[in-house]
Amino acid sequence: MQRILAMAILSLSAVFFGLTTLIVFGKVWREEVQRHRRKRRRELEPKLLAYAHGDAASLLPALGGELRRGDRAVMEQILLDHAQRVRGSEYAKLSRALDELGYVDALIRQLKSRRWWRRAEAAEKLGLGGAKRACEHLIPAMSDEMAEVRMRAAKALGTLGGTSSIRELVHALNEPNRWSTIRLADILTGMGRSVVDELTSYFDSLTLAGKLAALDILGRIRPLHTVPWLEQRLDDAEPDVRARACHALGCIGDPRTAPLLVRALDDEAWPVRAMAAKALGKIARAEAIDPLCSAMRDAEWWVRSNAAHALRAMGPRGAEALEDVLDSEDRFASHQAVLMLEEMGVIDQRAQHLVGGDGGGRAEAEMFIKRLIAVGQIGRLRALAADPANAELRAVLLQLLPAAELQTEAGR
Amino acid sequence: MAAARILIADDDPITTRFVSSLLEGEGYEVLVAEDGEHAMQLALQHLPDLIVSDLVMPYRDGYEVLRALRNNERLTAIPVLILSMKDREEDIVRGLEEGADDYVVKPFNARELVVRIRKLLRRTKTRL
Amino acid sequence: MSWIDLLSGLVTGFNQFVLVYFLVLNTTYLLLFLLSLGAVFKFVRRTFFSDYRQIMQSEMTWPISIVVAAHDEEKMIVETVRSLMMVNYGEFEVVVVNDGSNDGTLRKLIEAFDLTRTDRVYKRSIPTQNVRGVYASLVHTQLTVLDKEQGGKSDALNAGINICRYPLFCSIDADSVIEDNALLRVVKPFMEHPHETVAAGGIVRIVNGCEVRDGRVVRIELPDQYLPILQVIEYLRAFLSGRVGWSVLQSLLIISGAFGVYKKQEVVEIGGYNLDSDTEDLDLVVRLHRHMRKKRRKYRVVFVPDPVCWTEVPSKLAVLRRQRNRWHRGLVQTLWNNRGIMFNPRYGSLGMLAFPHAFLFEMLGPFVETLGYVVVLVSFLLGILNVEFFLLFVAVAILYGIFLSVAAVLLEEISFRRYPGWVDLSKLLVFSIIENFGYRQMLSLFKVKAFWDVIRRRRAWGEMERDGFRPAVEPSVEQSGGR
Repeated sequence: MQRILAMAILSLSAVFFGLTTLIVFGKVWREEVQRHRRKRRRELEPKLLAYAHGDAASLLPALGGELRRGDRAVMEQILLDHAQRVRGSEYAKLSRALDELGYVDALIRQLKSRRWWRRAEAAEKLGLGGAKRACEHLIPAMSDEMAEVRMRAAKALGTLGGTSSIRELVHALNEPNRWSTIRLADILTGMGRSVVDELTSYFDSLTLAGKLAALDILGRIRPLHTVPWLEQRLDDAEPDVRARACHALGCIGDPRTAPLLVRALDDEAWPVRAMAAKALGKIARAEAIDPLCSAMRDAEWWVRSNAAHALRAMGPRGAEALEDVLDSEDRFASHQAVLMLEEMGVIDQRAQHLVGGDGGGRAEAEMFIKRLIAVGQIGRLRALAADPANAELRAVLLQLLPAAELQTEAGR
Repeated sequence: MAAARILIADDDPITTRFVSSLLEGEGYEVLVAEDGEHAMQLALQHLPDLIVSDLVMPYRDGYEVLRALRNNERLTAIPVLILSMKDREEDIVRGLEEGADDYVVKPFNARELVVRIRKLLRRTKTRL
Repeated sequence: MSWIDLLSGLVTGFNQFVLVYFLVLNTTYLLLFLLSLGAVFKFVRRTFFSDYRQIMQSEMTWPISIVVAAHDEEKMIVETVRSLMMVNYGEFEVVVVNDGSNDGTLRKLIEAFDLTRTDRVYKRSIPTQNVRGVYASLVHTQLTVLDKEQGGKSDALNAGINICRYPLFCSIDADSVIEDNALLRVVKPFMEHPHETVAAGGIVRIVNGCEVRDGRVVRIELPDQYLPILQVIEYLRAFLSGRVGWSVLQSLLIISGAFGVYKKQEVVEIGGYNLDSDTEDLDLVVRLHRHMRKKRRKYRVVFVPDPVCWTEVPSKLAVLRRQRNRWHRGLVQTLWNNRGIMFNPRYGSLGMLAFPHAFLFEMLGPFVETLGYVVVLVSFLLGILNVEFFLLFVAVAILYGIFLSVAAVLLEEISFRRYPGWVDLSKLLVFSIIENFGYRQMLSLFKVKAFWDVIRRRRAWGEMERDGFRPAVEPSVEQSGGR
């Protein structure tokens, strides 16, 4: 028993001290390395910057002909830090220095490392450092088994550019990881118009997630010549595809697509209807007004809301349409209409007409206010009635508003 | 003629080191601030001829610095160039509307930055 | 056989039980630690030049509604909201729920942000106390303030969930400070597995002793007072060394209410937060688990060690006692209310690992430990103390615990290193020892008392119900700090 006891206490104490020692030594070592690196950085960085800003063709002379082995890590860090923050001729110089000092070759070798994080690191650094000749090595990295490696390779390819990488990147949209798809989409969007053709021609081979990402990218790049192709997507079997196509068309904003979007307002899937409404708001054509008013009575919340916002975006004509919706039997539709009118400032405007306008205007304004009261959403009116600044308006409003509503702070 | 004095406000030390050496190489005198508040202090103290400022900074962001500069009669004439990662249309428009004289997006082209700075300085000199 | 022999026999039997118990308990924590070690290692490897800036500017990141419940917070509320609105994220909204404050909370908000009453139409998916008004601002379009009658924190959160318009919502305590990129980082699991992830949480760190300016933690330092420092170690163990491991096993029982992100739809489906629970965050996550299992959907509840929420912890013993009392009561309640999960294979690792662990070790642990000390004392007084047992007990219960605490500090050192100084490190190591030599025992006593409180309350509740008395839901104002 005593032996067990002794062993237990001894082993636990040993582990405890072992851990503590580990922590302490680890910390000491790390701090030393950092201190050394900071010191070397202070000496090397100005030389690098002088080279970058200046006319020298090579960095080596400034370094005395060669780079010390102990400085390799520091120099790489400095080069990459600055390279990712600039563009243009200085970027080219930094990139050249990176190659000249042998880092690019080392990183290309590191792409084949057995440890995944080394591969990922290599891919990332190659992208930051701008070595175009690394592209052919990065392409196989996009099929790496680790998602992190794939993504960094994709990002690197996106930065290094080159049309050869576009195909790979578009194909990579079939990536199952949604986070990665977003990053890929960002990379592709950043490459601009050059990706559009590849996107549309490869579209059918993409998975659903890939298709949606592709449509989002098109919505951000907004290439006008894809409008006919996008209109065809409105007939796709997948509702999500139809919805995103609507969204993309709205972003592009070609008024000729309005009729097709109006048709999409009757789609059986509510996301499509919602996106169609949103898109029509961006396009703002008169022929869409009536369909949007009907859409405000849709069963789905998002469709109603988007339709209301769309009408709001249409200015005076939209306001007229919203006023008509006030009389609707559908309470949600009428409520939404009130909210939109409030946000457009129409309620305040009409309230002013109550006191400022002529006889006809005053009557009209009164009718309007009464309709608002009938709907039951009088929050804004109450707020106006409580405002001490405009006494005349207060008086008139207090007359119109049902007395009971004002006394109680009762909720709805 | 004394060299023009430029104040750089950015919380990223790598950017400030890069831009400092860039501008010093062009013959300017450079002051560095790591945050909005420090930037205002230095501006009041040294009255720089130009300010290059980031937008996202601790203590006081770029927009607040802009507003403070424009509200201060001693500092309002100083041209301000924004150097920021925010590259959306809304951000650029907002920066210019809030009082910036120019807006350069990061990652930036160093040559271009130098030329824009030179232009802004020339304009204020003729104004004086 | 004399009664002393009988007693000795019992004591010996009990001794052996206690030894085995603590050996098992600490070994499970060791296993969790090893799991966490692996996960943290992998996590740290993944972040190189972080591309969070890119993700922020991406329009494809899911929008989030930040929901804050506030009761009598007039001093800090404007600052809190202001710092929330400046959070580093693409599209988001901030919903502040004024839970029937008696001070100027609402007034200050209206003044500071130019709020006007609005007739926002929204669906009341979860029933709550009466909502008196909705306020919005034309200038700060992301902000919505809900004014309602008092109903407690859970009720306020439910009201906030009702009105929030995005598919994800983030619940934050009014007095917490979240780091700049925290929201981006905590959303990452949702982006990686959008259909499966239903909840994600970050780490809660202790702000006592740190310098906070403009809603940002500007300088990180260990607290000065001994009680908060002990809690620093405790939180490191619980979060870094514990929750990471549970998350790997996909049996995370709790996501801190101080900083958690959830899918709105699923939370609405389970009826929102539980009004009767003392620890609504624990209760919510457990019920989410049950719901998702019942629906037979593949799902994930994730803990991300990276995004940080800074929160204040009690520095006075009395406050700490109340807090731990409430936490333990909540744990017992939740375990009891969901007892069907225990050892139920239908609930996978949750039922077979997390729940039993919580019951056997988190709940019963304090009893066994306290009883252990009592027996030691009695044995000593009766002269039948087995010195060897006593020392072994010390080794297994205390030394092992110290080892685990130091292991947590190690984990912190190899990963996030928020306390980089040497003085701080030595403090942490010293307090790792003290934590097991008095602090933990004190917490055990609190927990034992909490358990009796639960038993008593149930009986009392039963009696009161007969008399027709309904205790009001207490507004959890004093809840300083998260879990």
